[in-house]
Amino acid sequence: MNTSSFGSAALDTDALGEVIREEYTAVAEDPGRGFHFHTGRALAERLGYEPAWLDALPASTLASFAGTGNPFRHGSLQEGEHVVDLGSGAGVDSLTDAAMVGPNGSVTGIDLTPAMVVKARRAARSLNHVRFELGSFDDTPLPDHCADVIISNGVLNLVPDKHAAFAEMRRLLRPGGRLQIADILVARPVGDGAKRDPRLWAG
Amino acid sequence: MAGALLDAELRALIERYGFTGFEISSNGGIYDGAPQETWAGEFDTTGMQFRARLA
Repeated sequence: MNTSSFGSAALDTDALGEVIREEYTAVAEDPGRGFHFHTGRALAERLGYEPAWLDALPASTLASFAGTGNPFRHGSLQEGEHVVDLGSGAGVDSLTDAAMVGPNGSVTGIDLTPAMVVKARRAARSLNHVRFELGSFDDTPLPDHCADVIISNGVLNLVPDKHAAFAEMRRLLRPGGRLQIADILVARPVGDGAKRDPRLWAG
Repeated sequence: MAGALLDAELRALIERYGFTGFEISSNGGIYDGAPQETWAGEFDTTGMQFRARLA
């Protein structure tokens, strides 16, 4: 059993990975099933995504959106930028990135769940400057300093080792590069018992 | 959700790993109206987005 300390709680990180893959395989393959969190176009609109961005996406991709914020709230991406999307899911943010950076830029999405990678690749099959790879937030198969921007949405809270996550983002970014990350915060500390329960991480 | 950071924890990580120009904004109760609302409410869980630059 691999474990990670977050606060003082030991967490079975292998079990957490399995729970995440199970949950997000369902979001990819059966997005209408209903989850304990909001999903789909209504969520994206609530988070301030421009209707024009959403209209440009395949409906099946948008149905599997499960973000917690809007990475573009603090600024759009620029033409020609190279973007890494950590926890890219079905590809909503990556495809939006791709439209912003254009064919002279690039987007690489990384996701832990094979079903999400398959779905995202299908949605991006006509785009030569977008690719999706299987991997974890804190251990990507990408070279040093390859990114102008790192995007992520609703995934940082699922990474057991936050220090590894930030070290990986620092490794991937070029000097002066930026993070545009959406996630969740808690105002009161979560107890150790909950932190040891993988289902309460994914749920 | 159990892996969510506190605001102070996030700010400490941003600083420790060499990021500057931190800007953050809140989306409020991202789980309002979802089955997770009660559990999320116990910890005042909010959605947010931030931007920061690698120095």
